[in-house]
Amino acid sequence: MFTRGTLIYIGQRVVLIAFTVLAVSSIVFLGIHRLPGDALFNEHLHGEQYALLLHHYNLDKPLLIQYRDFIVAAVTRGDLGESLVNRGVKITPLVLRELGVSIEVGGFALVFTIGLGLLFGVVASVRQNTWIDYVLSTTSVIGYSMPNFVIASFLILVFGVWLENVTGGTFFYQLGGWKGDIGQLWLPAFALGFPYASIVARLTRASMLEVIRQDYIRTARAKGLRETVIVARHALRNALIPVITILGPLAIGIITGSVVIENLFGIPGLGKEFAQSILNRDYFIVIGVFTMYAAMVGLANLAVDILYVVIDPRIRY
Amino acid sequence: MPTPILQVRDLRTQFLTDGGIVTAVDGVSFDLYPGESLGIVGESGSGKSVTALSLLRLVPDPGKIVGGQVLFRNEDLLQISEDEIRQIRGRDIAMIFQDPQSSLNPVLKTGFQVDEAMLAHGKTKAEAHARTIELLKKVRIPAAESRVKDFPHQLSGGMRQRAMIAMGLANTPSILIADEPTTALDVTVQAQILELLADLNRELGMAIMMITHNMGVVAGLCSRVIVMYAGQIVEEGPVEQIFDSPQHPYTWSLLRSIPRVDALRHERLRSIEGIAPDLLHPPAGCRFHPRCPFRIEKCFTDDPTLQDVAPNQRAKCWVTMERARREMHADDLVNIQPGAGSGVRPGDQT
Amino acid sequence: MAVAPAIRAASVPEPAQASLWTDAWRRLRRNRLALAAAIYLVLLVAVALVALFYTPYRMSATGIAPDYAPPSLAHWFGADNLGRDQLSRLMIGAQISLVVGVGTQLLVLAVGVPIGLLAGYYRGWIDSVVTFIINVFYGVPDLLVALILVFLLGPSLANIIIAIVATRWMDMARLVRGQTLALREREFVEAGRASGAKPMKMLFGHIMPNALGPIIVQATFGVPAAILFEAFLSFLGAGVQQPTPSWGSMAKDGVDAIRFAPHMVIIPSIALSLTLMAFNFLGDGLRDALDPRSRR
Repeated sequence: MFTRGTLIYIGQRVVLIAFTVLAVSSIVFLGIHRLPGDALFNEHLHGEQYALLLHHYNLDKPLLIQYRDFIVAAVTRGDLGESLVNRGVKITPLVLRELGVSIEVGGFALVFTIGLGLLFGVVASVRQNTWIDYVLSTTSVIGYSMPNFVIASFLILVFGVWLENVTGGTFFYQLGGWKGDIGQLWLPAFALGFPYASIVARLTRASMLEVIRQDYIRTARAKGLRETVIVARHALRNALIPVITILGPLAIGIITGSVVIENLFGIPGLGKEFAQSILNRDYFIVIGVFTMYAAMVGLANLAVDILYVVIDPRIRY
Repeated sequence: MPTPILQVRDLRTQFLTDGGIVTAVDGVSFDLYPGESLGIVGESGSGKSVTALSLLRLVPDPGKIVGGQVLFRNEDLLQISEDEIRQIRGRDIAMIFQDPQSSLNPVLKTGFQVDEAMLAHGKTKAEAHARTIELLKKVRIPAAESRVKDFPHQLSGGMRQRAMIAMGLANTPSILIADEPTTALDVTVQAQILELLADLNRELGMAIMMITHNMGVVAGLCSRVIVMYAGQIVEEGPVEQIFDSPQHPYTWSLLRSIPRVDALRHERLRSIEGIAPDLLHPPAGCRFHPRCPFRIEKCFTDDPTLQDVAPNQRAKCWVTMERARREMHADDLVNIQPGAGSGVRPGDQT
Repeated sequence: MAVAPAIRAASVPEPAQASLWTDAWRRLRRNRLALAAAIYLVLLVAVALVALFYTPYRMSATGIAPDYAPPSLAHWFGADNLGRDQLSRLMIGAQISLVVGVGTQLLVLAVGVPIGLLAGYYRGWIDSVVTFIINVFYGVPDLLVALILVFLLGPSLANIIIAIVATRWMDMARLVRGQTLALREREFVEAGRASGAKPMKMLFGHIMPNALGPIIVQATFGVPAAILFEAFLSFLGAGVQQPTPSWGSMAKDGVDAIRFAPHMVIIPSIALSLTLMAFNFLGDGLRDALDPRSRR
């Protein structure tokens, strides 16, 4: 399945992703550091203390020197510096731990997105122009019209408040550690994944309707295959090819959405950290989180390219 | 004559389009005998492909079979359940299609697509796999053992069509329907594929129904031929007899356009003046009359039926070529415009 | 010499615009969902306009009702955590949403259409550069960049709009580029070019009018996307600042009080969802009406 050329291509892409990550963090670094030094501190400090603080964060040097030091530390030691607000807290281990949590939530959301999206899309296409199709099509417009925090709020209201006796209100993500209980992730993952599931459903439906008209589907029928086999094996795999294209934007969407959802559910992931650090003006963490995000986006797009190769044998790099 | 293996009676298939109802197959009846090879000829839009698809109930939306019978082993294929027809497809009656490029699934291995034809009808994976290699050898695909792992895009056009044929043969069906199997291929490959089909027909005693627009293909492969025009059969009979003495003016014009009967011709038929009729508004009387050089006044109003014109040969014509030759000097006609032989022009009739 | 080709160019018919639009209107009228959406949006605009002159209470006046008061006759939508009238705040919130939605799309049109036209018409290196930039922007988590931008620029309505435009202009540019690439090969454009029409006249006089349908559809879909963006920013506390209400920040306040004052989250959430839905249904309807081939 993976030829030598494909592996070389993947290798090149990984290098490219590393450079993109570097470029993105540089842009954010330079953007933020153009603010005057005292804009970076909440307290109004004076004199020696202020100078010490500036020195501690390397802010007393010219911008380019700061940038050089930042890059050298990041590339050689993977060191993204120290929190401005919580002094002494190193950023790299912090964001790595939070990344784990976010991947768990986001991965679960992706299961909802792709699972529900494909299911609804395939059912709507197989039952084209029946009431099932209309209901699913309308639901999907409603689905992507509802902001994820609205879905989340309603879920909390229903399961956490009105049905508290039944659920015991245990869906909140309360663990401080980075391993959450999957059972607690149902609601956040659903709220995060559902709007994108609607998009996947629409795309899958359109793509299935296109594929089902193809000659090779007629061939499959002429062989005497069962309709379920025709849909699952012959139609769906081909219909997936255009659907894969949106997985890259989808990953970005889930990353973005997680910022809201993690805050809402109190999940200690990257998204919560991102919003908090922006509100706290803890800009060094912003840089750190953004660096992680850039890497995630790059890897997601790489995963999409690899999926193409897996699903469509005609594609070779 | 032995008993027919397939009897089609008064088959009617319609398409519900935005503009109205198109009757693509209009009362088609014919028999297919075991082991014979029958050609169904007509230009595009004549209903020959839809006829073939109707036999296995594979007509695409918005098409619908609205009447008739397809009798196979004393069963009407149009009446049995969806599951029963599924079991007939590929096992008793197999079908191969025009464009092997688009008719094979691009994301599945070629060998597996042949396997599937057998897996659908109760063979185990191992049996199917062994037989697939055997089949690919039979259809003369070189290095069959390694080709099974190739995807369709890795094969040449001719090889893809061979793989399609292997798929059709997988369950040793008693009937193989081939819908223009050579049209998308270049001429030398066409000849090879036809030769292969002829050999298989002889070796396996399998009846072949060859759907084509090409009289040359019929001459090379078939023993009997049916000519279709505008959804109806206009002539049928043994190939030699029809080539020798066609009785319907349409058949006559088809044959006139071939320089030599045994030549394979790549291009579409340029048979006769005028275009295929608009099936949304079929002409009154005989459907061929707007293009017929030998039409008489009756043709404008009355639709003829298939009549015996010679032993085993029937034609759907008021005039027939025998009379046209005798009375209208058909063989001397250089320009075969509508009404050229008979001199009857539109508006002449009262 | 110059006259003859001009006449020849004029004789090459452009696709009939008038009948296209009347056909589209006829199809749109048959689409009940789109029509209902349009009516809702007209009402919403009316509410936002009324709120310029009149709201039941001053939107920033605190203590008008008991804090967290549930809906009542005096306060149809209840009160919020500071005892402010929710209906009045919702009406002002409608203004904010519409200004953000429509404002960003106007700016996106102003930025995206010329860029797309130039890239599609001139192709070559301009197109390569534009395509590259568009792809870079597509690879960035847009909302997060907007969040950073708002914080660097300061959270005001104008800055929010700028931040959204800066991260969401690409859809329009990409669409217009694609349309232009396709249209420039059509006969009436070729004829115009052959007759020596100025590029600006070709672009804005001939190509753009013919790409207007897809542009309108894209802009219609862009409005809810922008409103959603603003709601996200406000929900995270980076939107318009208190006391000015936004549906996003109202929902955020509501979530904090979800145990004892659920109306605070339900009402702005429904307003927001209905509005986004209406724009999406209208967009769907417009697309089906303007491009009948895309219908199911």
